[in-house]
Amino acid sequence: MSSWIVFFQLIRRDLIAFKREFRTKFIDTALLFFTNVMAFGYFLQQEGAHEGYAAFFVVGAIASFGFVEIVGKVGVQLADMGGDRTIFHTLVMPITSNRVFLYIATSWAITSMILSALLFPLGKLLVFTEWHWGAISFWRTAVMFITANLFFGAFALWLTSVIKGMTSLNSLWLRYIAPMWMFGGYVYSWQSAYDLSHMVGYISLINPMIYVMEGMRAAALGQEGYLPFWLCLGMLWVYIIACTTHATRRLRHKLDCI
Amino acid sequence: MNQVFLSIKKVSKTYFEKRREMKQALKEVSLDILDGEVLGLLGVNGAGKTTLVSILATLHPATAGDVQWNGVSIYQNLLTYRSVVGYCPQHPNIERQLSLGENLVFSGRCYGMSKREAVERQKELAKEFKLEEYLEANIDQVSGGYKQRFLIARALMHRPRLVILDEPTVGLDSHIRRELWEVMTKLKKSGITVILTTHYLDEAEHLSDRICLIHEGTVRTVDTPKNLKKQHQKNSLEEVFLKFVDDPEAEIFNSGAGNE
Repeated sequence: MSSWIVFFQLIRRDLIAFKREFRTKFIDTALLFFTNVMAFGYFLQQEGAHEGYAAFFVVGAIASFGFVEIVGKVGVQLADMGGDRTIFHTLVMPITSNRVFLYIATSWAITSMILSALLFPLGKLLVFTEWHWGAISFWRTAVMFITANLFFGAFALWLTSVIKGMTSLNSLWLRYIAPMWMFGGYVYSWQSAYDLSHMVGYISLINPMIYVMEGMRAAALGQEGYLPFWLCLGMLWVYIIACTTHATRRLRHKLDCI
Repeated sequence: MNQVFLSIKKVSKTYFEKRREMKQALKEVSLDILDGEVLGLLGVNGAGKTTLVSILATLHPATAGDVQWNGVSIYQNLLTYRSVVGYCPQHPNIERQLSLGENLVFSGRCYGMSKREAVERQKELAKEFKLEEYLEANIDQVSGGYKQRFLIARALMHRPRLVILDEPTVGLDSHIRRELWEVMTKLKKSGITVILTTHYLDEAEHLSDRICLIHEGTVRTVDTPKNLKKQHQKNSLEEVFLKFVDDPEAEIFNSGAGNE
């Protein structure tokens, strides 16, 4: 029996569980998205932000909101490892442990994709006149959207592998996620950071979130003014492979599995 | 009953923390598990029972030694071996977002059963384990006894040849324990090889064909309950057990299969 059968069954199981809480999750995500777009996209323009800033902000928000959903999963997974240990049931199934960890990252990425994809029509409605269809490269947007969410899945898996337990989770948002997000081009472009200081621009390139934001904006708003689309895509795949490889090694050690 | 199903060869397990050795849980354990037998692993808390069964279930690796199935290391044929093993852990690790019935079906499907097969098997096991009225319930809505019944049923979903039951009756009242004994007796009659860990002596005596006494990470003796009492000239298994626990250095007459 192929262990891919187990892999897809596990994803199917997660999707059924996700379907049951989808409504609540979508309302929460949509509400957060709406408040962010209104505050940053509209009120900031009243404070002097350039025209088209709302569309710029909406695309970044769509790209990155799956991250909120996925980081929440890190806590759930850590709680499981320290409590119910449902993962141990999965680890004795006819599937290799590496593939179990790959399934976890993929399953998280899929759920985050489903939630974020629904923000596209909402975002378009909110900034109807500013976000022009003509600027969107649909295939590039789709490729970058999928890659960004796969990166979130891989990154969350890596976080699960390096965070010691639930007690360390409290500092995760404040110390790591918030700076990574805010300095990852959530409210500004990489070009603005580079113009402010070349050093700041180059340091920003270490942050994978910059490639998520810039890549999505290059695909959905046009290449001009953003980091090259292919550079963003390539760099995200480097991060996906690095995070997954390191997380797999760490988790095998952490869970002491075969 | 004479054919060897699983052969444990000098298996050791050491737990490390920050590369420092913390505890040697198993010390060169060697043991043969016979096809179709119920082997009771008996020992006090921390004796190494759970560690041994978690290695046999391939949840954790052994630090040294090997486990052979059909004469080949289980690690060489890991996925095939896993597909014939059913593991019922000590703690109820059940997916909370799914109902108990769905948990059973998904477990079966992960072992390659079609949806129809899995649903049929779920109904069959629900009837056998008196779980029918709880199939729609969530884990938090059922009592400890039913959780354990469910865990055993889940371990049996894919019709395994070896079932590992890790302290299935711990913390349950005597009435529920007796009910679970009936369940385990049915397993015994069906010819499945069963490894049962317990620290209840009556349970081990009642259910096991052979008893393996583990103390401080080593196998002290393996034999039938009747032979153990006879060899040590004791009236009950409890007295034999206490002899080993109180005097772990006591000379051991070992007629158990494969205990090198």
